[in-house]
Amino acid sequence: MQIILLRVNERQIVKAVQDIWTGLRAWRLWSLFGFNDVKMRYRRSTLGPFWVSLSTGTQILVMGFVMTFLFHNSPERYLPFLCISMVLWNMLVAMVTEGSNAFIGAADLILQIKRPLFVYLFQGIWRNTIVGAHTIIIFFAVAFLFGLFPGPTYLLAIPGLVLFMLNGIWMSGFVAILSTRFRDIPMIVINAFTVLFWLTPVLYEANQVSGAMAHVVKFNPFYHILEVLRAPLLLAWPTALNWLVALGSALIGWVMLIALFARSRERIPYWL
Amino acid sequence: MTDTDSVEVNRPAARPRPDIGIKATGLTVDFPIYDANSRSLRHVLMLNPVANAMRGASHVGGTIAQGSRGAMVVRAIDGMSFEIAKGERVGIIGHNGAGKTTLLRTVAGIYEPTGGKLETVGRIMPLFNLMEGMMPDATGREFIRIRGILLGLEPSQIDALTEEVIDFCELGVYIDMPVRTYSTGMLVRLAFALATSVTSDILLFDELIGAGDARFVERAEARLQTFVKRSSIVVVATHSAAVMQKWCTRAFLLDHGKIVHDGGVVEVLKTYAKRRAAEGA
Repeated sequence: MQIILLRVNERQIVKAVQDIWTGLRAWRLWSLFGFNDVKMRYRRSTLGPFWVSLSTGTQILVMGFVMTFLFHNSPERYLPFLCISMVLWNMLVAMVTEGSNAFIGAADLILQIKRPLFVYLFQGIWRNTIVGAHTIIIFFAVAFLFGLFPGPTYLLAIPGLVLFMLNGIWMSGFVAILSTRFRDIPMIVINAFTVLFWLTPVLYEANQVSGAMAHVVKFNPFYHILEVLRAPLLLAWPTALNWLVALGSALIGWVMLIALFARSRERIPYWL
Repeated sequence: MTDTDSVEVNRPAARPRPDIGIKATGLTVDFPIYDANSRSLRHVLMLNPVANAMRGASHVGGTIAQGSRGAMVVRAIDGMSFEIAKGERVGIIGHNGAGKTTLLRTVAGIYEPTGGKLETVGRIMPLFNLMEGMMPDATGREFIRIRGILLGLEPSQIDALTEEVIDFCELGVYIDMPVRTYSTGMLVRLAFALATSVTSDILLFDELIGAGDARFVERAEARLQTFVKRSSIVVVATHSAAVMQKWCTRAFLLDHGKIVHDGGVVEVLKTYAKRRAAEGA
């Protein structure tokens, strides 16, 4: 990381930050692109993007049913937990893994006209936000069914969402840049997430594990990134450690992203 | 977006800004080759005498060279220097791989030069792919809006442009039908009307298009003429001598990423014909 930082100059950093900022401000572009992606994926189907709601819903219900029996969990506690965990996890994974295709998939557009490159990154983030919004319906339905109505902790979900997204975006951007140059990265990322799925408390709660596993969980930033948003929605308070790790990961991540982007921005069109 | 990225709708663009221009000094663009089989490419280059002699000997493509870190690079633009002033219409001619498209993309700011300097003053509008942003399920009217957003226009500007484009392309009720129901000619009409509805200072074309029925072609030419006149600088890459003679005031003949002849259209076309005859191509 220090080496990466040392090899960028001030002009490159300024240009990179400019790209990110003007890219963010071109919201008309990325919201249009992202929305069209969703539209194209489900075009001419009757349910449209509600297919994701339906498939995620069935998957979670069946999983919840099996897990309740397997671990003798109480469904009224476990099902809402499983729902929100799966929804948030799927969203994070989709943002990062699809990030690997952000620039490669937009090659035609990038070689057409000069635009901020981050437009194409935000396009994927927006696409997955739309999909996420369709699946979170499942959680609210299940939560209300078991009497988990919005409470004061919901206020904390707002900064939680901000941290969650900030982390998702830097990871997505990092993967996007590296994947454009090294085409093996997408496969590595997908594999990493299958492993991380089991090492992160998604199917189980953090306090259900003990010993060495408890340490693995504690040192896993993905747990904390998930928890700052998940806990408030389950009417619990995230711990100070959750906040600290999620915040720290966002800060370090963004510094790394900007450094990497500063170094590679002008080369990205050449790598396509 | 910065000033250079924005465009304006159908106002006589090019409010006299004396400084509009393109200036390149020693402009160089190197493409790295990262294919999985670049090793075998290197192998080919070392073992095959024909490939080994490629440096300067091949008729197509840029010069293949060893990059600074030992990787293979293709030098698509090789130390070009030129100056294009306000009011000039430059045609770029040359065989495949001479560097025409790369030069246009570099001027458009898509590729940042790997060497030398490039200064451009003025709003640049690249028109490389008129179908950019076309989604088959969008209607013609939606496509106009999408293109407007792609060009960075404000909603009010898009509204102004929509009527004008619909007027010109004469698609009738089809304008509210999905684009996928259009014939190729209809697509070209719409795309062309759209592309020429927005002007800017520096226009970059990669091959001028000519499709649609005879009556449309006539109207298209007239429109293109006024469109071109409204911009201060036009750079067009083409294979067609006719296009060059009709539209350009100056020509570049490109070969292996270098400008081998820069001059009047007639002389450059002569040189091009001579070189082609010499190559027996």
